[in-house]
Amino acid sequence: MARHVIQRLLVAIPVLFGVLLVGFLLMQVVPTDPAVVRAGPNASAELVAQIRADLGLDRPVAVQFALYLARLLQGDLGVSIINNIQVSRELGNTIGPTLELMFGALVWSIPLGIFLGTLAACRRGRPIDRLVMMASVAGVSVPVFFVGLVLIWFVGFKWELLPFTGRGGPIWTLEGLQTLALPALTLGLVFVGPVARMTRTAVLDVLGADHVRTARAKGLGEFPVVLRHALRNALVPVVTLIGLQIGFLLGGAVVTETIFSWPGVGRLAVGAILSNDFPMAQGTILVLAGGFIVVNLAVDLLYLVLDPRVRA
Amino acid sequence: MTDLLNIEGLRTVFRTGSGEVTAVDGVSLSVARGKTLGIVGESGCGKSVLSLSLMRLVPSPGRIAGGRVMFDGKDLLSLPPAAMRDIRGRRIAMIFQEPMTSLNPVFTVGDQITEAMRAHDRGASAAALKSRAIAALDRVRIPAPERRFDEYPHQMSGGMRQRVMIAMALSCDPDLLIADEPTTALDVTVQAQILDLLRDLQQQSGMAIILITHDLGVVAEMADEVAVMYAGRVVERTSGKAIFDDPQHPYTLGLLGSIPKLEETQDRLLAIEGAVPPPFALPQGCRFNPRCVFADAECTRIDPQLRDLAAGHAVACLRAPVESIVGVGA
Repeated sequence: MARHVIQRLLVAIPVLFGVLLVGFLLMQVVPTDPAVVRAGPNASAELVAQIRADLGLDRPVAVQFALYLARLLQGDLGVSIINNIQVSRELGNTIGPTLELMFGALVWSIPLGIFLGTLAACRRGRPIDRLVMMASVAGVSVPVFFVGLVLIWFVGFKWELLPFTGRGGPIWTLEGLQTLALPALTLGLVFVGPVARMTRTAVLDVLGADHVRTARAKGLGEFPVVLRHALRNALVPVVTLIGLQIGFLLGGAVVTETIFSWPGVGRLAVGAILSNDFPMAQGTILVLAGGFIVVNLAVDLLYLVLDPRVRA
Repeated sequence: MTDLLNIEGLRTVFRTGSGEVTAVDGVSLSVARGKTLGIVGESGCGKSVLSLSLMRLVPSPGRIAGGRVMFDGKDLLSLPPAAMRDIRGRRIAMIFQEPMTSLNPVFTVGDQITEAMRAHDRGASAAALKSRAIAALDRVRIPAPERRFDEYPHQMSGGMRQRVMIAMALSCDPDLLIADEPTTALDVTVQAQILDLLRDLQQQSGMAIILITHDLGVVAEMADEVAVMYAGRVVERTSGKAIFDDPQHPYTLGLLGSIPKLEETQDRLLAIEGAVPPPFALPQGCRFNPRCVFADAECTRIDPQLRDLAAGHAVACLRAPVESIVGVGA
């Protein structure tokens, strides 16, 4: 068990290195020159050149990356090229809100998706099944930003039910909850559909299994049969798929944070990339990739809990 | 002696793209307490659907279209679902062919046995259920039942799992055990142990057993009565002894002819040509006539019904008794 975790963490190192390398190379393609951004619109060419030299941007790309890695290994994420703020401090400030957003989105969408998927599986071919599947296709097909804009327009702007910009405070305050509601709703809505679909498929699969027939032959009612024997077994594949989907949800979080001005890692990443602030961008990429790895590790561990056959 | 279970004209159909097909077609059978009824036939003859029909567990798109299943004076087919659930597991228990997949892999065997008991005894304490479950494991001769109680199915061999299935089935002392190919997936030595066990348990408890199999050896070992099924119908019904001494249906003869015998030298085994016709393409007249060596013109026109040849020996064949066709001593 412990060995398993350590193995997974060791595998994460080359993965993170690859992510950083690709991120760094992509940043070179962005046409914005950070020295120009930093110097301001009226700066002289000499000043820009001076800044470029100070930041080390005049060195070869490979050297820049090597220097970055060397500092990173010492735990130094660097300083923002644009405003000199410590990257680690900025990340520390934004991780909390992003975790809040993810939590707010997942806490209702996963249970709802599992419920709807199970319901659809038990009523296979009936109207409720078709309705759930139609809704889930719609949910998968509609992009996050569209959902967000529609919610902002109606719930936030026309009906003035909920605030729709910024974060009013931590999640345990009323203001925090109120400002979290719409972004969490937006991000969660695109997640319900896939979870419902996966659950339906997995439950249908298990409902046809021999051991479900055994459970019925024991005289169990439909409810324990579905809940204990079908859904419980179906959770094994569902949890795996949810884990993989959370990676995509991180992408959705970037969009959602941008639309709702949510002060999270995603919005920070967008800002850093747009201004070619590569230490900051690399820092956010590191956090998002790290999050993905942690989620997958958690899924692996959950798998051990759910399926005794893997434990052996 | 009144019969524990009396099946009358049971018909189970499946809805398919090309209309309804009949998997079990007017089957009438009975079994008394303490007795074993063997149901024999090839794959696809409807014997498994028959057993699931008795439990009212026919999977969709199948449904029971007619007949009665009188169990201890009540027609199971007209019971409300809750009353039927109460019968399942408590009065009629079932074990299946595949011990590998018939147990839920994510729960311990102890969990699964106590679950069966709890379903029919809501008041029982966890400790009482556990000791009863351990006793049940002990009864099916599982060594170290206390330890096995906490094991998962994947930690056990096939024979062990089938013992667990039997322990689970018998945990509520059922009056009737339906065993659907209980030994087919096991190797021969384990098979003998399981049959032995079933016979002993039957003697202890006096339950009736319906034993579904394609293996005539198993029938010879176990059955008091035998019903041979072909294409959804019973074609011969007689005692477990007469089926070997005095088989009357050409299909039964064919089945017996396909058993290798040690004491005789045979150039080749007799095989029944062809295969069981699918339920949507049944032949005219007798359903066995395309494969029957004795069939004549009449057999392709008239669909034979079960008729008594002797006391306790019924055959659905126009040309029976067999002696009238091939002469005595066939």
